[in-house]
Amino acid sequence: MPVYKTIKELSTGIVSGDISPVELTETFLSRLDEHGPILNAVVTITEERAIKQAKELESEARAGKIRSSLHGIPWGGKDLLATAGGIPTSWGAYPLRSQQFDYDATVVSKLDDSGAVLCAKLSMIELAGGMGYRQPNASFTGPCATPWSMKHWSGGSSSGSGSSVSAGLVPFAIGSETWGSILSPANNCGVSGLRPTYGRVSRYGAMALSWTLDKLGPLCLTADDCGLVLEAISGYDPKDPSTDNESWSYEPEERDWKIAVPKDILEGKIEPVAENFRESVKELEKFATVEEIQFPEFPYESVTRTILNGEAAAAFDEFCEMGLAAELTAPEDRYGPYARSMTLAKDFLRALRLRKQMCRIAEDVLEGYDAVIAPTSGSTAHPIDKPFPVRRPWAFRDIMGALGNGAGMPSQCVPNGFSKKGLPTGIQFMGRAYDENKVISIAKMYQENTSWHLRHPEMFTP
Amino acid sequence: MTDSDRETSILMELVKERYGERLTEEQLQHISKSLKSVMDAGKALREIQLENSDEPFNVFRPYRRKE
Repeated sequence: MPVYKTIKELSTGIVSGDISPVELTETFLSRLDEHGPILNAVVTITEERAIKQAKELESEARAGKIRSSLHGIPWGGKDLLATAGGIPTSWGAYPLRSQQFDYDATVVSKLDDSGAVLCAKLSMIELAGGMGYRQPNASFTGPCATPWSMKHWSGGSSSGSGSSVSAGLVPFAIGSETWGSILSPANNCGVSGLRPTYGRVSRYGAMALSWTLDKLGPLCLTADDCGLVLEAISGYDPKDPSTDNESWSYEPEERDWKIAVPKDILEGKIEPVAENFRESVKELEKFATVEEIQFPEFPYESVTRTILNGEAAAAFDEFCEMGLAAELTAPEDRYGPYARSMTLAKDFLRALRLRKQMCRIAEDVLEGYDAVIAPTSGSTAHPIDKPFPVRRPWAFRDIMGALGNGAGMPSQCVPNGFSKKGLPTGIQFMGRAYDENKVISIAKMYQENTSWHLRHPEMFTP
Repeated sequence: MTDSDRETSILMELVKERYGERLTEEQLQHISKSLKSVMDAGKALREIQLENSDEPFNVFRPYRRKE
């Protein structure tokens, strides 16, 4: 059974002829159909498109033509990626459940060209959480569960992307992150997630929540797989002016690394998260130097939050003016956008001016380090039927999230243990801008020395 | 009433003016709390000194169609 095999393992089988792309696709289509509804992880199964693609790729493979390491590998995309051919792209929102586009997002086209097989559009928090949801039940497809416990949330907003990879419904998925939307589901579902540097991956055809914060990235079984997928989806795109002109290739390396850990980073984290992080540091010290650092006082959260507020209010202006917010699933999303639409222009611009200072702080503090580490999240998966704790977003510190997203820095997260209840925890390796190869390489070495990524939820293991 | 409360109150009037018809009293109360948070974030930003030459970290490039 080819489930829970890495992309590299599947690719080896496809190249040798031991694995048929058509049979592989049928296996995952069947798993999506059987398990997707239980988890609320799937919006649309793209069976017709997938089988057609897989047949072409199988013919090519038989003729000795292999497009890339993703040739014949099934995948799922967060349902904010435009897909042609009458496949709906709902953005997770009930009023847009039948929305269709007549073109593919650049990420979808690039994966097509690499030979990956789109099998499903995966569930997500409505409008990628842009309306300020306060509970897991904020998607028209229902609250998405982590495969580790049906009573706990998958995380969001790339909920189905995390849940599907964790349950072995697809070998890899694409998610998006504006602030935490790849790392959160990767943490809660116990998989590896990569938030690339801003501009590394074209967002053309992806729903915009915040033009200067949105990033697309992979969720996979391993950091190594994330590197392979990023290579396929990265690169300049004239349709997205934010994309970087430099091409990027995945080049993992092994060496002695220098890692920073922020002072007091475990403050406010629940005990299993803190305990597993301390164990991870011990593991990392076997092949890296770990030093404590301190970020200077700065309103990191207010800068990133104000940029997000201003851009999200503008991005969904028409949606809200048309009164469509009233049809959203979470009651708080029906009024959430109206407060942020009052963000003052001068506050927004001040945040953009302070962003430059924030980027310089990141460079100053991290100069000489290959990565800065932290728990991926302060807690394990939240109960699926309970609202989040009441607290204002900037009443707690999230320097890693605010700085990382505000300054456009990459972060690779991987599972690093479990709580006594059997819920996964994670560690993130955040790098300076454009340092994806470093953060993936360190995470890869960590995974070569640990086995957390080899554990899979019993209920979905064939 | 603090400065922040007064600013929130003024902006709430704008919310009511623009969207009041489609919002319930309970929703307006929630919006008022969120608005306070939006204003607090702005206040935190104003505590950092900026120079006149500190431009927004967005680069505008004039557009010219290729001929």
